[in-house]
Amino acid sequence: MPELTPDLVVAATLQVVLFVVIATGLFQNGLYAVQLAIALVELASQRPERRASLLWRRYAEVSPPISLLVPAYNEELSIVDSLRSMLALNYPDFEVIAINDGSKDGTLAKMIEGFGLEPIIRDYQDAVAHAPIRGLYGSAQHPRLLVIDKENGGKADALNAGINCARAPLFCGVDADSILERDALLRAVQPFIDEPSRTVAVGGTIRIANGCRIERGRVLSFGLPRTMLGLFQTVEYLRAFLMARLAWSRLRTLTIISGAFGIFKRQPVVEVGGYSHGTVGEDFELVMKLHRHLRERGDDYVIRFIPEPVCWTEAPESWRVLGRQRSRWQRGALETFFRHAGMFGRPRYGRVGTLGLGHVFIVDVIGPPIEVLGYILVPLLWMLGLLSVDYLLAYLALTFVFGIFISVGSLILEEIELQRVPRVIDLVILTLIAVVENFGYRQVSNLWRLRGVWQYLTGQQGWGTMTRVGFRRA
Amino acid sequence: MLKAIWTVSLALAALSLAVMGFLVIARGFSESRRAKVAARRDALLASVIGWMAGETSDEHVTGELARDLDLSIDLLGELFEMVRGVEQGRLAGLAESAGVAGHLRAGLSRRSVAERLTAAETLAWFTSPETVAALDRALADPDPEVALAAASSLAQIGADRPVRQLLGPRFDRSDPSRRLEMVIARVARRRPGELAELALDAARTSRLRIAALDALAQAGAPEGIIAAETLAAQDPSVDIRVACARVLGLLGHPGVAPTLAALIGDAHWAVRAKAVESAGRLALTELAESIVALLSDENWWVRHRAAEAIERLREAGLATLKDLIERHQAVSVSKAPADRAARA
Repeated sequence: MPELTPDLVVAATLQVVLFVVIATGLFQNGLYAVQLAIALVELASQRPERRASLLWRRYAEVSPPISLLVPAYNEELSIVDSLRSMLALNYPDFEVIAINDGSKDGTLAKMIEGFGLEPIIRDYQDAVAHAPIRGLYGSAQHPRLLVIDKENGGKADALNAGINCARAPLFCGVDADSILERDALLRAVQPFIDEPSRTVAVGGTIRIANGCRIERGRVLSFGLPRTMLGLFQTVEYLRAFLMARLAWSRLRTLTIISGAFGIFKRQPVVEVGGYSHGTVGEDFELVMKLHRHLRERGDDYVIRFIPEPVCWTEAPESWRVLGRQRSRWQRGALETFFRHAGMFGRPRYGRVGTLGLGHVFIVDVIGPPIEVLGYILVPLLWMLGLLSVDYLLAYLALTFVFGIFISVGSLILEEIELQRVPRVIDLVILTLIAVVENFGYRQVSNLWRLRGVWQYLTGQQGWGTMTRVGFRRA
Repeated sequence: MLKAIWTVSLALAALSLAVMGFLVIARGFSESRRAKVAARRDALLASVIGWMAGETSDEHVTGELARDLDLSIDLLGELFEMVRGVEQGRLAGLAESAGVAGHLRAGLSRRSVAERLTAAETLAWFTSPETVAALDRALADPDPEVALAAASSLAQIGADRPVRQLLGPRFDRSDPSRRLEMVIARVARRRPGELAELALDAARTSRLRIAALDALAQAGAPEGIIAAETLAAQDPSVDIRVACARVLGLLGHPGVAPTLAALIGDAHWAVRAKAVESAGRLALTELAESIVALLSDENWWVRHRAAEAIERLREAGLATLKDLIERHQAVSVSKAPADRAARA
């Protein structure tokens, strides 16, 4: 038996750590590859209808009413244009409920001025908890619009106020700084028409609006962001929505519907107490609460993702703001994972407990710290001559090269099935970005996520501020 | 193993880039093709509009349409939505003679569900016996959406078919698409008796029975009143009783007051809420007292609907409300000395 020297212990420990780093990377990338394959199958089996007239003919008569909930905090720059675009949506029966969440700027004044609002009385049910409502506003010129002015309580709180005032059986949460395509609701409502009893929630695709031509809250033409950071996020969003969410939707394990655009049945959301306070990942948290509630009740239900309805959003174009956003997202993911950790791996919760939360565990919980550990350890050990070239290459493959396959694969999905990137040159640029983002951006992104882990562990709260420039005019 | 990770990753990355390169080149070609198709579409649209205005001959426009049938279907699909009455019939005749309808009928047997669905929906504009026969066959389509679209088109064309035949296997499915309601609504005027029977048939699913009741209400069919009155008194399903209350309110016969009065006293809040809403809609002043009593219901929605109904009853509602308040105050005043004595 060899003598147990300190050198031997260190070497053995390093071997184990490296094995964990490689195994986690392998597992994570394997998961992505599977998602990509499933997403391809799902996209091929769907039947997106491009013609708006046929869409209206197909769904208008049977579309259930929808209440659009638009929480707004310090959105004076864009709120009127956003609401105008929402009021002009192509949908037979909907109302727009804008919730001024105690803004410190002129958000409410802008809405009052822009729509000729006056105080009104409207009864509402206190079904879910929220901060006190100060007043309700409406306008005879815009009968579909209701404005709620309430004390500040955060986005989840504002959405809860909207849920209480909503009169439709479905509600759609939309960020005030986002723009819905005219047919987005008609497309997103499809699962509620095809499977009306089983469908509980539907999410749509979020795309980056930076670089698009926008006028009065409408996207006139597609364009790519002009900064590298914007371009990286464009590819990132494609990967997140077209690959991950679509795949999990097909496997019925979708655990998140973006807060920027998602349609929910009001009743089950009320049953789970609406959006949760005290979390920065209220969208993830709501979907997990729904899964838990419906699984425990033994309901037969579906939560779907539809790639065609598109919501455009302004992405941060400064490293500082983007970093804060990503740390916050990471914190939100961890908060929700640990709140619902009791579901993890339990057969009672089916695939949501195994695949859904398993994915969150690999990608969000252990993924970032282990990958960052690899960034430090692998090159260091190789330079010290303690690591073979094979190990180094395997690590480089998993952190850099495989990412190219996944990102370009998502772009391929987009091009084969949706073709929402109109110009060939844009397609070429995005392909290059899909390669380049793996060398630098991905690593920085992981550091931001690690900061989110730290913030979670040290109990740091808050959203940080998003500096808006408003959408570029035509 | 470690080398394999490197090799496989590299191969997959290279493969994805090669595929993307191919797609970029393909897009380059398809863009120029798209531009040509758009130009052809504009020319075709100009021809059809010219034909509608009597400026272009039948032969010319038929030939143009027949040259690219898929493009013609796409264009005519939009035009059908824009024109009405005689013009719609003329356009359908033109499309039939150009072979567009035949192409659509053939589309019903394509492999792609999307193509079959579009064909089933677009054929609603064509009334020829061949189209009706093709849609009849499509009722057995393996895809439920295509089958329901065919049923909906048959109903729109005016082909008189029993509901069971139109819905086929969807008839007894527990969660069919909401197109089911659309199909049932479209046959209501032609087959009200059948729908009333369907509503009364306890062996059918609640969805189907409620759809039948709602369709009768939308069609203004008196059979709906009889069915709703019968079901309101005996059906154990809350959803059915809610539908009865809704339908009675929509059909608006004053003789339904006793039934609505019974529903106002229902054990389930959803039925009470809908019944009081309907009573308000029909301004049934004889139910004013029962409506005012619901202002103290345990459920928020019932209280809310009762308040709305009182507003709709106008003087009668307000007078009953005042009367109730006065009686309540009188009771409070008469009880006050006794309460004080008890506290002392």
